[in-house]
Amino acid sequence: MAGTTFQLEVTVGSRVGLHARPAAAVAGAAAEAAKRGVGIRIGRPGADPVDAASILALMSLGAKHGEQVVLSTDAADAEQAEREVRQLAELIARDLDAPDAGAASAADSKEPAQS
Amino acid sequence: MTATEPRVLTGLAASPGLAVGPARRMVPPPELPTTEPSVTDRDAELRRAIEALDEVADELEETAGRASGEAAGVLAAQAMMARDVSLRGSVQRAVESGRAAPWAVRAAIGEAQEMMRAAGGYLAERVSDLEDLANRTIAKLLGVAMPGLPQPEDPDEAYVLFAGDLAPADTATLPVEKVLAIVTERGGPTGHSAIIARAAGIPAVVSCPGAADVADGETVVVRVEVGETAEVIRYPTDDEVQAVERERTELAARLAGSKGPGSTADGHRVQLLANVGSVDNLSALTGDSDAEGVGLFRTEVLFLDRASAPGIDEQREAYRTLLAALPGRDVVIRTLDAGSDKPLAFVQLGDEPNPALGVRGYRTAAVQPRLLDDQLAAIASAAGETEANVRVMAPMISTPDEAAAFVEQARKHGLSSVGVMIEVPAAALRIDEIAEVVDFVSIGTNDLAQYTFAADRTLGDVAHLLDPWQPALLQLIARVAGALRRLGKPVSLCGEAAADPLLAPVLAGFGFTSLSMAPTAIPAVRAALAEVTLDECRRRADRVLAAATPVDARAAAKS
Repeated sequence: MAGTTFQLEVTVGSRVGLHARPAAAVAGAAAEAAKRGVGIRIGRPGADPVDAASILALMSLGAKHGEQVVLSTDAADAEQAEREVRQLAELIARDLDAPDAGAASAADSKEPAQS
Repeated sequence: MTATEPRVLTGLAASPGLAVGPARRMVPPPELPTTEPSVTDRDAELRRAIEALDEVADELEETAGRASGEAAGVLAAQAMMARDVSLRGSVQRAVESGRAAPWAVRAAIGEAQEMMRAAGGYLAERVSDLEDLANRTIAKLLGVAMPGLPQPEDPDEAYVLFAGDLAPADTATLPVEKVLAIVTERGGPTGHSAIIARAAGIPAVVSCPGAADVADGETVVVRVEVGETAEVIRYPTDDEVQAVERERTELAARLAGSKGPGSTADGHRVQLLANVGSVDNLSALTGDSDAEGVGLFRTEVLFLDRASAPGIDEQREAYRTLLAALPGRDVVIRTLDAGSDKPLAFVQLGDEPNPALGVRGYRTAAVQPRLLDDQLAAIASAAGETEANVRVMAPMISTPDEAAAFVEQARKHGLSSVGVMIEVPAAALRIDEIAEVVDFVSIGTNDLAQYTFAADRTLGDVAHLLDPWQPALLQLIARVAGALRRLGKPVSLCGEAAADPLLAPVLAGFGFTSLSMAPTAIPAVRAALAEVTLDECRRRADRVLAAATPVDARAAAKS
């Protein structure tokens, strides 16, 4: 993409892919980076990228566990651009589905009331 | 009221109890007016749309802060969607093309929904989250009531909640302290509304035709006795309202006096335990329910929604949290009950035409032995570090051989109290052989009824066959209890039936040493047991076993 100052390929670490909770975490982090002046885009290699700060765009990208995605930015400050992109890449590479109370109570409500 | 309108509406019993109060309806989604106003100041219109989205996002975040678990996650993600840059971009484009704010929001969210639908699978579920977001934002822009739970003028008002059916999102934020009863037009006795109502101890009538006619603010009486009545009485007289209030006060007084361990009037002990689905629910064991321990800890919650099985360390931590909270008390842990209605991503069972009859419960150990071994290792390790009296049991045992194999495996891990669940009629028929090899058994009445009557427990049309008072089921239950008592071993019941106060003395008469139920059901069961002697329990048990129908069996249980 024209004007790209930094770009990085990363493997999605979340076991369920970039859905709901992981997407929310990634979009939240990308929105923070955007506030600091580094707008980050995300896409499959060779395809049109979308705004990484948009949870809707991220989810509809449908990136699955183990898939490669490309992060890119056209922020002017090359050093800051690299730092922000690497930070987001680390998050994407992590397993963001680590269990918490959320998974537990969800399962509980899904189950019939008794044994 | 017109002459044709019935005064008493009858539905299906979903959760027992008695209530009187004003009807409050779930607020339906707002409708856009038929004519769209023309916009003169597009900048102002855009600001209006963005402000509405901001307010909705703020409110969702606030609600997320008060919710827990999955509900909090869904609400937080929904708030992010309201703040989404691409969504706002679409709203802006729509407003710039001349659309009024509510219509612009509708169009923009419609586009996003299309995107999710096109992606299919998991994302299709987010379509309803977006729909809810559109409804909230449009309600705000039109200045009409927020869709969803009713917001009575008096915020402290307690009410009878009327709805078409409740969605999981509604029930997650249900203000249980303000809801006197739940009445739905649709939904079955095992559906989502019913499960939530039972867990919260709120009376509920589901599949109630005519519920839609009840006006907001109308006073109604709701009376539910599972297996007997499930009615909504409209236009109650003052005398009727007073009678209900009196009855409620008397019941509350009776239950308030109910504390401590369960026993009959003459001191015969029947342990009252709680069914627990996650460590989060532990608070329910203290306070009013005053449970003596946990009769069924479902371990599936650690596994569901997981792409791979949790390791031994992670499991040990979870069990330790549970056990450390209950020093000196009995805690019965059921090993993984996967399969059927609880599929797990990492247990590949192939395509089963009848999953309830397929590889589930203990049977999964045959295809993935490591899963059960790891779980037993984790339980044993957590048990060694805590003071609770840990017992383990396997679900879906069908033969004495399976029971013996499980006992041997669990003992190898150092677990001293090992039992099995009786849910399969074959196991109930061979209970004498099973009783010899186990330390205890627990009957899962819901599955035992499903398999005994060949009646799918998720199907409303066969619900009458799943009545715990069916003589064939009671006969199997009594047989199992008798076999264990002859050997002096504990026998428990942990299905729906354990929560029925009328059945509790009968079960004590059969010889059950413990009953495990939703914590909210414990006070009523404890009170029912405290009113009868063991001899009377036995007399009732004999009479019930001689009954020919569920109706006769119930009648026989009433002294």
